[in-house]
Amino acid sequence: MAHGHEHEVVIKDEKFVMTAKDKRVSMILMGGGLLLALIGILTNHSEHEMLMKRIWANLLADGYFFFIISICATAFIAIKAIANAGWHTSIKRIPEAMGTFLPFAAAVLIIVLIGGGSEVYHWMHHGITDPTSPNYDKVIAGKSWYLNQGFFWGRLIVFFAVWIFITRKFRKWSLQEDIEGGLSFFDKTYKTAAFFTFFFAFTFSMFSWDIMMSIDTHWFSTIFSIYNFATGWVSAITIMALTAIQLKKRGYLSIVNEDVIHDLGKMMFAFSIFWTYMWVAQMLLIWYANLPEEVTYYLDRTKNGWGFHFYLNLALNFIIPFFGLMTRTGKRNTWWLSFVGCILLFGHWNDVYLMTFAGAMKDHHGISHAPGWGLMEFGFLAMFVGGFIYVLLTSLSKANLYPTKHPYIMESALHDVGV
Amino acid sequence: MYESPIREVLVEGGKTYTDVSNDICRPLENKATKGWWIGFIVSALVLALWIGATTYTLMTGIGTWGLNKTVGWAFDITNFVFWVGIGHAGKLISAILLLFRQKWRMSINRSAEAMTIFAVICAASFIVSHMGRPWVAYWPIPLPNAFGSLWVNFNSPLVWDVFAISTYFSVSLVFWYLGLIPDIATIRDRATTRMRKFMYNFFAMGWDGSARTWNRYELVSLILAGISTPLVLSVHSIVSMDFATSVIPGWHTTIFPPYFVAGAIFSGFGMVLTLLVIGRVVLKQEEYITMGHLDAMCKVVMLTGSMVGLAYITEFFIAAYSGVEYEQYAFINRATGPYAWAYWIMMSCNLIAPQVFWTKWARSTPWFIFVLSIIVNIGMWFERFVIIVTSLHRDYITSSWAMYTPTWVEFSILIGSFGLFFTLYFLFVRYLPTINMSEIKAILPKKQTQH
Repeated sequence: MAHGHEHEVVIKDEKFVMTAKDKRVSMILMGGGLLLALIGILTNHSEHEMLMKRIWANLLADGYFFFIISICATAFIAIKAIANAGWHTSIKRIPEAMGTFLPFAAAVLIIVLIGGGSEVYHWMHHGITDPTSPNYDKVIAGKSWYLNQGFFWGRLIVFFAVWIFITRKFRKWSLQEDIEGGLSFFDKTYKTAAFFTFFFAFTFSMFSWDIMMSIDTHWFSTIFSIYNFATGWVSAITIMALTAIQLKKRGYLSIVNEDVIHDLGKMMFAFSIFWTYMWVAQMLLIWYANLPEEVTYYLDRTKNGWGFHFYLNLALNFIIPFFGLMTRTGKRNTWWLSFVGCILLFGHWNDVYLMTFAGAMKDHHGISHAPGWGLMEFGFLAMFVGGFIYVLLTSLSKANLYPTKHPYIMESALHDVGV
Repeated sequence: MYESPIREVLVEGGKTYTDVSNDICRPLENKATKGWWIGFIVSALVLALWIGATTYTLMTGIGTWGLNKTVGWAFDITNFVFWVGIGHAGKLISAILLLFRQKWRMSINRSAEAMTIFAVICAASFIVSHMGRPWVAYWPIPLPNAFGSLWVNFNSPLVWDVFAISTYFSVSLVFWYLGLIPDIATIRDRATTRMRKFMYNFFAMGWDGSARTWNRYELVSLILAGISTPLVLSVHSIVSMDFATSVIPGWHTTIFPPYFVAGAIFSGFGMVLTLLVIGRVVLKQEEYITMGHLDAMCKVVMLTGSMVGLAYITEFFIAAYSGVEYEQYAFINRATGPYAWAYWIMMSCNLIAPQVFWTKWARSTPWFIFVLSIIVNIGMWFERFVIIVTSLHRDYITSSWAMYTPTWVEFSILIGSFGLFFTLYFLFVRYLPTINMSEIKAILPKKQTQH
């Protein structure tokens, strides 16, 4: 079968042109989203403090969600490189382009931390570590060796700098390879990828504790970082599949055959189960042991209106992809794969939403009530989706749609998953 | 399927189909070598030690062990988790790498799967022997009340464990045997004595090599691989839950399931390297288990070792971060308490030692790989010892703090279990092909397959 294809595949430069409609759609999403969010804010009648918390929590959830997606796209490139994988080469430009969103997502996180940190993060509340203050919290004061502004910002800036630097290098080398060819860029990427993977494993853990876990400052869970990685990883792969399908629909990327899409579908399926594994491991062990210092996290997330989001998580992120993508047809039918992919992405956004909001929306009694989804949530989400699409398509249009001189490009073009 | 010219060949030496059959069948068709006899007899003697010590335990009771009321679970369960962990790389190589279509698995999967089965047998022996009353070993099976006085506690991970291990063992055995059938048929067709012909004919189950048979074979392999993959993860996750569902500091932590799985793969690859670095030379299979294979396995060892290391550091960090004093003490006690030596052996063997595989020299020097694989095995045994004994020996009530010292009986069972493992392995090497001939023939470099 492979021999039959060998003559049909032509490796040539292929440029994506961003149409006026693409620009319009992403602008409408951004502008319309902002407008919706503003209407939501202006028509909101809750007290000022809770409203501010909700606005910052929205920006934090969306910023974090798109940040972990973008950094997982870089992790995808790195892991594929050290595994010496070839099949994904024809879609490699998509994760490379996704990585270009990192600086924007990082900027959002920095703005939220500066502007809304004290509203959202328990440990940043005023006077929390000061024994003379009425706000004093002994447990949190005990964590100030790790959670203090200096150390927190120091490590965050290092993580951002190194991650963005390597992400840009991967893309730069890949684009240069198109012009110069040879194995030098391939080798450089391989070596850097080994370092990145090692560095990323440790730093992403701290990053997830810093940005997400420390919202509920009292609470702790050792699996949390891997769980967050699973969220970002499966979402990133889903976006790669959706983008590849859309590009093919417009007549681009004819080099990406249906077997590559099929394999992306397999990864969406497999890593949905992987995510569920982490979800169960964290939830089951905490529920089973029922220790007061841990179980509060799940009490906060199943009562007071949060239960809907909690169970929705399991339905959208496990049940639907598990049954929807189990069959071969489910993974090879691009319409169905895109449909399940959109559900998955929304489901993982819901997961991040629940993680962020249930902790961030606590009132002075330490109880949070689910505000429900309103114009604000959908508005801010639309704004981020629009921004992400704009950056992704712009980056895609700046280079060849697939690496033409990558040593594994033919393997990818002739990829065959068998029966 | 097209392959990039920059990829290394998986089988060296320009082998033809006939060469493959001759090379792989040679160790089982020739007379047993002196080396094989020495290895087999030594293993059998060590096995005798295991039989003796286990019999002594069963006849006298587990009072012969060094357990006390604080540390009521020690060597037995350490050995159990150690062996079950080793039993995982086999499945990983055969099932997960099959799903990922990694062809380099083909010359190592057979011996890795055999290792899985023998390791699970060793592991199961510890479950039975630590029960104290093994004649009622059927009690964890949910049988109607008339059969025993108790109904099993379905809430207990120990019961889940019984189901998980027995399912795992059965599926591994079927998977391994199924893969062997075409090769057994090859040996049957080459057999010269009547006895050999009869035996291999019996186990080949009438394999005729027709396209239809092959089609079914491949389909069933893929289905079994699909079943095995969640099994590997679930088995070791459940093993971890034996500890993690408790409220013992050092045991109850959410990272345990993936951390145990990573550790299992790590120790399993360590054991595969121990076996194959020697085996490829003794059985003259250097052209099938190439330096490229060793290189890839070293990288897996480094990767999983770092994952395990990440888990150690995460646990340590979260204990400090949690602000829970019991949790904090458990880890301070691990690193500085009376069992600190075990903790530092674990840290240096599992996290630090495998980092040498960043260098090309370390990954391409067989004697060094062998030494490191032994270090990994030692480190992973100590990991379980650290988790189990150091978490138990100083519990919530200071008045019940105690030390645990194993007796000669426990040491004999531990050492003896290697005898059990290697006796089975030597028999396997003698009577079954250690490399899957039919799969290897499918991946010979194209231009070399004329015959």
